[in-house]
Amino acid sequence: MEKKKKTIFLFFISLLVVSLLIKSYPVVTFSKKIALNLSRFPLKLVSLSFLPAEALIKCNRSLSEVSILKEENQKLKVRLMQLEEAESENERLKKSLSFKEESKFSLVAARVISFDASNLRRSLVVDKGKNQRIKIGNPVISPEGIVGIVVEVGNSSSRIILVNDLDFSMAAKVKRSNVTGVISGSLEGMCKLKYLDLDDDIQVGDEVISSGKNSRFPAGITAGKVVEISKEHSGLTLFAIVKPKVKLSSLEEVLVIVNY
Amino acid sequence: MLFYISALIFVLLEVAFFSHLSLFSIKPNLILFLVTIFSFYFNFDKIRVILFCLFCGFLKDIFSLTPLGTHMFIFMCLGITLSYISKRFLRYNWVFIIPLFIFATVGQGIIYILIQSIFFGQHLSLVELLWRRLLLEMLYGLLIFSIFFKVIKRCVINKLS
Repeated sequence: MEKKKKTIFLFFISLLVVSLLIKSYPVVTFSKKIALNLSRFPLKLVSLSFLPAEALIKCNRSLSEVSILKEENQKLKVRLMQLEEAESENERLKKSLSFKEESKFSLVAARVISFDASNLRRSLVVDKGKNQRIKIGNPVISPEGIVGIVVEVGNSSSRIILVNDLDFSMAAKVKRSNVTGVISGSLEGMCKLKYLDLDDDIQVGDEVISSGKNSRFPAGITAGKVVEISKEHSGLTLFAIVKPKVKLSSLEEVLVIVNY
Repeated sequence: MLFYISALIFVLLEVAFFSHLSLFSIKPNLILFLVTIFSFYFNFDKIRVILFCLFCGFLKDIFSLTPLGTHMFIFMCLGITLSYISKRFLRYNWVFIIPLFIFATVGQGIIYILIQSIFFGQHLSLVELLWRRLLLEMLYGLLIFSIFFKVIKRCVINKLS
């Protein structure tokens, strides 16, 4: 009887403490920061142990990709020459219109060391942190497009909330028609472009990019492609399901924009 | 102590190793599997179950984006329920671990939705969560579960008994 009372008492005390912890989330983030710093080495060790197996799997695939990449490289060289010409023309025109030259952002390359422990959230940890000038709120990209935003920073590691997490949100627009909306995550791992008007010009296959209207991301970075358009339950607005261009579940390296 | 060390190893494997083997970005929930086994095995000692569940929840929260306390809350409620069910109805038949694990996976989703709605005002649909995430998590978990169960039984449970 005594033990039963003790158990019930412990259960309710724990329930109370845990509820308080959840409620006071910003206050207890420091404990997560400590854990982020401490877990860096074991995480790196475990993730590195996977590398030889991964290399073997990828070796075969890489060989066939080489010839495709060579061909693509030739095409890109030609495209680069065209773009360099366009850039120099653009600079000339800007100067003539006396535009202020915008400062270009600097990037920090980081290696992914772990993913989120929960299947209900989408985040990852990288091996760069405060020591490499990374701060909370820094946008994170990859050569394919938007990855997410830095939400926790340790000395040499940081946690990034991914673009398909439920708590992520960012101003975005459709590249073709300039229709703007807010992009956020969804349960199935896709993104959702919300708050679109019923008569907005949007089609399946349209590319969605960052609009640059909030200060988080520079304008023009690809988020993904529209795969489905539906009406909200209220029937007043539309939303589009956007497939992220970056393969978020198998990311290995990311680029953090540190001085945007 | 062996269970606590296993929890630490499992959480590291989950975030750094099984993320590479995820199916539709779902990875097996090894910690939930450990909580199920512990609650089943130590169903006579609720205090021990509560403490272990709090530890597992703490680890999960630390390595996740969820606010600290979320998984502690989920696992503690699950631990108490699972140990009660196994003590009252199942006794020590290890076959019942599978339905217990399925129950734990669904229960985890329900409690998560309740926490999101009560503490953060975010309303998620249970049906959507069940179809899109939990069903696959359950199946994938059971597959890995069958491999790891023998290891856990041989290395931890048999040593304890």
